Amino acid sequence: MADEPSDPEVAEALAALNAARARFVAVVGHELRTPVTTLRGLAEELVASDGHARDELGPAILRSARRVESLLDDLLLATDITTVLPVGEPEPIDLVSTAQAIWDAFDTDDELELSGDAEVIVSLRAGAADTMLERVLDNAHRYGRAPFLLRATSEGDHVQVMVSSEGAELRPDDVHLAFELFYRGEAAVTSAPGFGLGLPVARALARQHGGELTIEPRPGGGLDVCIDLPAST
Amino acid sequence: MSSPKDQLGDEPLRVLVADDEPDVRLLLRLGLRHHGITVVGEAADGFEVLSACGELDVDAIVLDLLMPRMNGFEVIPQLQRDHPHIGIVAYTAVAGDFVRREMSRLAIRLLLKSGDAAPLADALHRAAAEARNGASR
Repeated sequence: MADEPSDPEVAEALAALNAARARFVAVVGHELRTPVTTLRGLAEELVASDGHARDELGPAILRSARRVESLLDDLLLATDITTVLPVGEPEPIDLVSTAQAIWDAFDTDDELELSGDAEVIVSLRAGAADTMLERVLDNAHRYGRAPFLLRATSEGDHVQVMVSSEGAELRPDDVHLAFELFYRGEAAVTSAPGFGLGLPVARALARQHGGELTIEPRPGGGLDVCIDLPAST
Repeated sequence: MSSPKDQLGDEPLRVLVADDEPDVRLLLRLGLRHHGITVVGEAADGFEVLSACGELDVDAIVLDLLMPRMNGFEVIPQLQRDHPHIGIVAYTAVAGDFVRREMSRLAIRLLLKSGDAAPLADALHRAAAEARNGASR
């Protein structure tokens, strides 16, 4: 067994590092193990299949492989590892129509109710708007309840998009923990409502483009997620 | 040694698969059929589990613990109260101390998700036999 460090500060730092490592492994394991084990199982079924199941297995394998790729990027982004941030020149994009298209692709009968400006134009790198809005809308859809609202507004040189949903009543600590991904105990990870990687990823993308993402619990339950970005000039 | 599967005769075990991931349900539907199991229904959350158990003839459930709306932790006590003859196997991506402690307290078999359906099939056969024997006592 290694000797305990004699310097109390070093010992404290090492203990904190070990605790962070344990939390990281727990969350990474939680997020990645399902798609990885599913991918392996589906591939084994494909190898063993007599043909009639292949029509189902091929698309499922592709979905799982894409999910692993996407989760890996999300994990890096959510931990402020910026090497996978989008590259290239920002392009003008309308957040309202982008959000509506993303919502329409969800498997849901619930409507996304729009209010405010019919369009708000921002400058984002390719893929950033889709990813950011998809994570925020998916979080609302996954953990919230109808009505699902999107309100877009322009004020001066900034635009705001607020995504609101009803849901469980959140404590102030829950809001704090939404972005403190690796600072949650397992009991928090395994209890509902939960937060995935979505909001930290969306916030990282908003910040990359000079914006910010904030969340506020709604009175009586649910969440307002507000994306603030510079307007396209 | 006789396994619970032997005691069931040739009839396939009727299993409900509960997981919010459609591809996990697809994998289990395909993988379990090689092990004397027919997946008779699928559920994406705890509410659908309770609804399916009221409508279908189910011997055992593969229960993901982390599902939206009503998770596995919430649905287990209701299943144990209202459907004691149904065996439950908790099937989860990771299991730290909290999950292991809770499943032990609730006397639920716990299995880590895997690409290999054989251990899950064995656990389902055993859980079904235990539930059937326990409920008939």
